[in-house]
Amino acid sequence: MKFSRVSLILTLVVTLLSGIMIINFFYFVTREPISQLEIKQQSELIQKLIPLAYDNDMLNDKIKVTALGESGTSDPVPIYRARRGELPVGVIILPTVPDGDNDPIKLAISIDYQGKILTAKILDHNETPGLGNKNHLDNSTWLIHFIGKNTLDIAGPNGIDQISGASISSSAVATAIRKSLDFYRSEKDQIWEKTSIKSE
Amino acid sequence: MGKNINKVRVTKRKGAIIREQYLDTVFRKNPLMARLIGLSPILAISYSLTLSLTMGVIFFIVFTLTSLLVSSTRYLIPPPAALACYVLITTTIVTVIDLLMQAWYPELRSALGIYLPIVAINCLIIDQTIVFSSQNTISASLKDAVFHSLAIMLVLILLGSFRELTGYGSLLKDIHFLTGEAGKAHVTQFTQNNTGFLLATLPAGAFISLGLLIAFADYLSTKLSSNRD
Repeated sequence: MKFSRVSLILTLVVTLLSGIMIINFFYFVTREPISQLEIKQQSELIQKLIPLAYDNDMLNDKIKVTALGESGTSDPVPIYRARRGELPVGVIILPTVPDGDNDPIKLAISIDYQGKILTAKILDHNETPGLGNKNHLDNSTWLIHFIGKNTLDIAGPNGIDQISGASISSSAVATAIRKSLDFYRSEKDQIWEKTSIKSE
Repeated sequence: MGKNINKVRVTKRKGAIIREQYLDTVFRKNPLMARLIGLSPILAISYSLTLSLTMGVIFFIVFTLTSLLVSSTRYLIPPPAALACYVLITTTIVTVIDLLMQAWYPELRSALGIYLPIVAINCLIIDQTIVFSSQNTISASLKDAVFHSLAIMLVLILLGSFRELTGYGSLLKDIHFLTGEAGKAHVTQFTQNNTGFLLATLPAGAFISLGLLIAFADYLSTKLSSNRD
């Protein structure tokens, strides 16, 4: 049997289009629940990240900076600010690490007003699960090393031991944490003075 | 694959034929244990029974839906375009499952990680669609897909329970991904403080467990066939 080029292309286009339509439909069905879940997770996360007392609505006290995104991702990095009354308490920076093994790794770093790391957490990653299970990125015992550090302690990505079996990801994460911390310490005044943008 | 299934003698009762076909799929033609293909998602997530069950259900859905779609469009799709179309069909189904899981079972989805999207290009499914579904009637390919996904599910359940039991000393430890916090009451913990045999939870443990399972199935299969003769 011979098939004309037209019928081949037509079949592919029809399959592709129907696939796109089906996925689109389910995208719109699931968009609302997914975004609600994300908001819920964000506020739960903030509770965990800022162990200090604050009384403002952090989710809406947000600025975005592009300076941190230079290393590959063009998206501006959001920074949330915690205040108590008029006094600054600390910030949460959510950088994205572009150079993991697979997809970008999403990080959350909270820094107190003085410039000391409070917590560091990996929000989302697609690195190979199960690679060296015990020392894996999900295991936050590695990230505990960063707590309480300031710039001087992390001279380079090698200032903190890399995870064996996940050295690329872990050094990328360490670099991102160092960059965020450096950025906060050098641009501190600006970060606190900027007017917050409306959250969408 | 599949062609020998139809050679079963017609004189037998229908139930007996189906039972024989199923046993054949499980033991002699089990895609995971006899042909050892498409293993990566299965070995990667089988450290937990809940995840194995989920993966089994996902395989069932993807298998039956692709077989249904491919076999019902087998006269419409010209062979040179077939592979591309089948991959598109599978990818669509897997993406929809992915979106639904992100919306309603986000924890389970993140536990499956990269291995859920990988199901779309699993050679088991591509093999099934090209070799069987594209050349058989709708009912025959549906039946074949159901048999195969049940066989895969069986292997997943056995591997999942074995690895979780030895690795964590528990059963269904991740059930709260599916049921919420209430499910934690149903977790069976056999050892204290989640301790277990670490090797079983690692990828190497997956291969060893699968090897043991294959040996056991081989033993059973020879025993069954010697009983029959």
